[in-house]
Amino acid sequence: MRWSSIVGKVQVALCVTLCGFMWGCASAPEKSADTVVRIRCWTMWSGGEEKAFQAVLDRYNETHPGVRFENLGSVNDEKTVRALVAGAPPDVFTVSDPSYLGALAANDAILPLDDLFGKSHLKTDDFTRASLSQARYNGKLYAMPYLVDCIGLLWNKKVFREAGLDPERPPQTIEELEEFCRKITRHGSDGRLTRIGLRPPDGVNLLALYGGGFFEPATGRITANNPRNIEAATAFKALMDAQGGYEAVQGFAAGFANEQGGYNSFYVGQAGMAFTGQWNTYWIAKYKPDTEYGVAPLPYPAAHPERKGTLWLGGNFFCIPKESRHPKEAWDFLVWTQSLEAQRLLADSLHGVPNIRAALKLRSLREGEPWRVSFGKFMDLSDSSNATHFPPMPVAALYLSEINSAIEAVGYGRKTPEKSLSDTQERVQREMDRYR
Amino acid sequence: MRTNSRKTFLSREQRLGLWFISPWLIGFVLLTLYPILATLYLSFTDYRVLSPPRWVGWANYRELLLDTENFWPSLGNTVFFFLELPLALILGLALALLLNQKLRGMTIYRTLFYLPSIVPVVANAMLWLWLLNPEHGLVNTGLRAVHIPAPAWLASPLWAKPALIVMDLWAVGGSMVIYLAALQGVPTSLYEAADLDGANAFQKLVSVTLPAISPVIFFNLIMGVIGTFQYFTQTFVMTKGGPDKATLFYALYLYQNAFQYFRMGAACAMAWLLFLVTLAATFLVFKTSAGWVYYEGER
Amino acid sequence: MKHKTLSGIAGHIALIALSLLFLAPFAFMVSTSLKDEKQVFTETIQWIPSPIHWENYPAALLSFPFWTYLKNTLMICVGTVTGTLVSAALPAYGFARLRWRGRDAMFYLMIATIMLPAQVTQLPIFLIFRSLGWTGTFLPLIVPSFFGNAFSIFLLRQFFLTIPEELSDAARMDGCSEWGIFWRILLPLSKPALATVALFAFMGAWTDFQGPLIYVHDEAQYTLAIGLSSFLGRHGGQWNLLMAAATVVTIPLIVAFFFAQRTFIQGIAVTGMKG
Repeated sequence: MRWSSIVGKVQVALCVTLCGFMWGCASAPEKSADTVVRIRCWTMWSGGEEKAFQAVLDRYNETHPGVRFENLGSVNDEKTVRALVAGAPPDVFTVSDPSYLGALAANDAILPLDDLFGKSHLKTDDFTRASLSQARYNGKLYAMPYLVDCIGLLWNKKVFREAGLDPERPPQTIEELEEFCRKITRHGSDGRLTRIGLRPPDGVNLLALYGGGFFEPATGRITANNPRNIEAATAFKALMDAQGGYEAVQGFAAGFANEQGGYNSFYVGQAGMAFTGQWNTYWIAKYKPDTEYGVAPLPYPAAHPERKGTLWLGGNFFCIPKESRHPKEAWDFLVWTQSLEAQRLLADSLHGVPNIRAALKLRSLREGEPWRVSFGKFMDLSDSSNATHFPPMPVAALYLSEINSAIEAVGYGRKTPEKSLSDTQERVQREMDRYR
Repeated sequence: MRTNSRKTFLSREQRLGLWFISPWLIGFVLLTLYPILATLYLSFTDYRVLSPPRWVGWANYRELLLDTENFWPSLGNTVFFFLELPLALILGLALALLLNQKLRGMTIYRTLFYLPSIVPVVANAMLWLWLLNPEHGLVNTGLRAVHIPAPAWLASPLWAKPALIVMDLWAVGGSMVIYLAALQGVPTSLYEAADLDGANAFQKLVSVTLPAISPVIFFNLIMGVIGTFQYFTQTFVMTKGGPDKATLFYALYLYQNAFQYFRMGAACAMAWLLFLVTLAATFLVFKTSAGWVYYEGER
Repeated sequence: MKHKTLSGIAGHIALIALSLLFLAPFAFMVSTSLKDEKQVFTETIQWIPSPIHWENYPAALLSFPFWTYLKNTLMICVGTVTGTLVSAALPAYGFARLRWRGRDAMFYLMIATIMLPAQVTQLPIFLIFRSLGWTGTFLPLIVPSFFGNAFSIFLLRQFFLTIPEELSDAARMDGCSEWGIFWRILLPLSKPALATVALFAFMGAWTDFQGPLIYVHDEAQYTLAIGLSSFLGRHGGQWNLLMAAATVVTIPLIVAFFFAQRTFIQGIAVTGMKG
């Protein structure tokens, strides 16, 4: 082969691939042999929860002839994003990390649902306060919640008793939390921690307690370093120092299993308290049923009593890609997930809190086995007016990770709260400005 | 034939050579050259993955070079990790020297030292998460048994990187085997000559063994430099860059930009900077190699 | 001689001590994999658990489709090894045994690509395979290996350099073509080096993490490495199950190594010789 002809062929190949690269190609809809419309549904659930979710889908398929939802489990958000980029998305998918929502919406990858919502029988008032608001970006609705995760305070009554505290009274204020931590923390003869007061929480949870806020949607201004947030970061450091310092606490906490499993530091009473979610009520019953614990709202700063009753919410959402082949069928399914029957099935099998107000009253979710009583406590708290969440925004993933590392830097004493949060402010604002 | 009558663009030898290397050459153009150029183009755009790229000039590069929060620390962490190279060199060579004795059972020892390097990366990451568990892991239980203060390893900003280095050194068998092969290839005549000069073991090591195997040391060094710049899977599985960004390595931050923060343009700029830095570092090693790498008789 | 035996004993002692150090993590892995939760979290280490909990293995294996993952991984491995062998030898010959203008420039270009961070090419390559409709199949994981892996070519070239030029010259005198020399003389002499390259390719594909992570969509197509990492996500902190899974994934490699170690280490011996 002549060199010049090689060059020519290579050029052709380059052009072809370049075209493919720049414009992409829409995949033609597949025609299924039967008349049943097959809906490809990607979900984050894996293992036992995947089976539970499948059962919910089965129920829908049974009661809705003409469509068949086919579930692919264990899909993480990155994979969904890649499929969206590749122009080969599923027809409907779950977002496991709500911080992806804003970016998907800002980049026009998912379908705005306001029209469909308006035409359906759903009403905003049916939803708990902080569920739909998590799915709105720039005034438009981009996702449907189907369960919320609700972070509150769990305290171990046995540990409280041992530390000389009233086992029926959780800390009310952050100041009290710090004092309790001091009382619960124990060191062994060699100086090593043997028990801590509070399992180290995510930085962002602590910021939520002070209500400083993260973002002003009207002006597009990031507010990472507002005075409240700086107070919160200072309090975080004080909390960790009360238990022997952040590094010691982190090392101690890392010695245990993560959330799931019996050897959770909170379950076994080596951490007296934890900021954690409703799923623990079920897991404790499953892995360590003899744990005596209570559920309370997160503590509030004594100087800001209006923050009383704060809860931190995360969400589980369905989105419909812009390029979904069956948006209509997907939407019908999303409407169904808001029905009492679906909310009960989902909450019962996936151990999340329903996002439809009427479903919060379902007795079958809060009565029966003893753990359901604690679960019911979470359901009661979830619609509180101080239930709050991270604002949906295109840079949420970056912002969250920057906040958590900023608080970490404060915890380890590498930076002052002011410096740390101002750095976050500057960095995230710069990124946010690209979206205006 | 017509083509032969004209003055051809390539000589017969060149055409033959190109034909032989064509599998690589085609792959190079399609799977390397074109992607690199595409990446270069994207590095000058604001590319949020889901919407088309928008030209922004040098903005990505400028922003990265001014970023003292993530970019420079990630480069710093990666440079810190170069500490592993001399340690791996010394340990690998020491093991190889031990194994290069005429003793019985050497193949068994060799196999044992080599085994850690064939453990799959993810399994290895899982194993070391457990070994380095501050409370119940083998490492700290062992340290406490001999009354050495046990750090929190992956939970400590100070000790997280050393922990990863220890983990990598466990798999030093890979380079050990190469050193061992090199040692066995050193001509015995050289040692005999040194014996005649009355050299002791250390002198023989410094003036015979090391120069003789210097090409292999050089080879391992180059591969080590390249591997360090691309260090990813372990931190991705084990630490996600924490604690306090202590294990935020360059390749991990690049990945986060690309797939988590929707900053593909910046990620492409990072990839290009990484390419340039790697080239520079390798070039440096090549330059200095003239002073200490000896090739017998060749070139 | 007395002196010799003494130093021999010292050598053995040093080697045994080091072996124990290198083996301890394996022992800890296997030991943990046979414990229940109570036995895992103890103050002092029990190397031999009592009672032994064999059930962790079926539990770990049943909680993910191990055999499917194994089959997928092996399919990719076989494809990759084939591709690497087919496409590495020819260019290596072109770089080692032929003299032509531009060869060294090409060679250094190829060496430079070893230094190329995968990230520089990752996204465009993904988009190429997408436009071919290959995402969701094993093709993007296998096909690139048919285009000459630079590292394998480098290793083979180093080996070809060690084969005396006289052999080729004699064949050329007899009128043998370059292809004939390559096929009939060089390749048969290069079996150990080819075996090494095959092993490297096999191990690379066996442990590859990012490739399947990006290209494989369906759980039925997961490889062991991906399956293992999702297993880690699901069972974080259940060290006994995690260690059982890690043991199961590691053992096939150890077995393969025991069978192949002679060729393997000889191959490295020759290929690593000259830089």
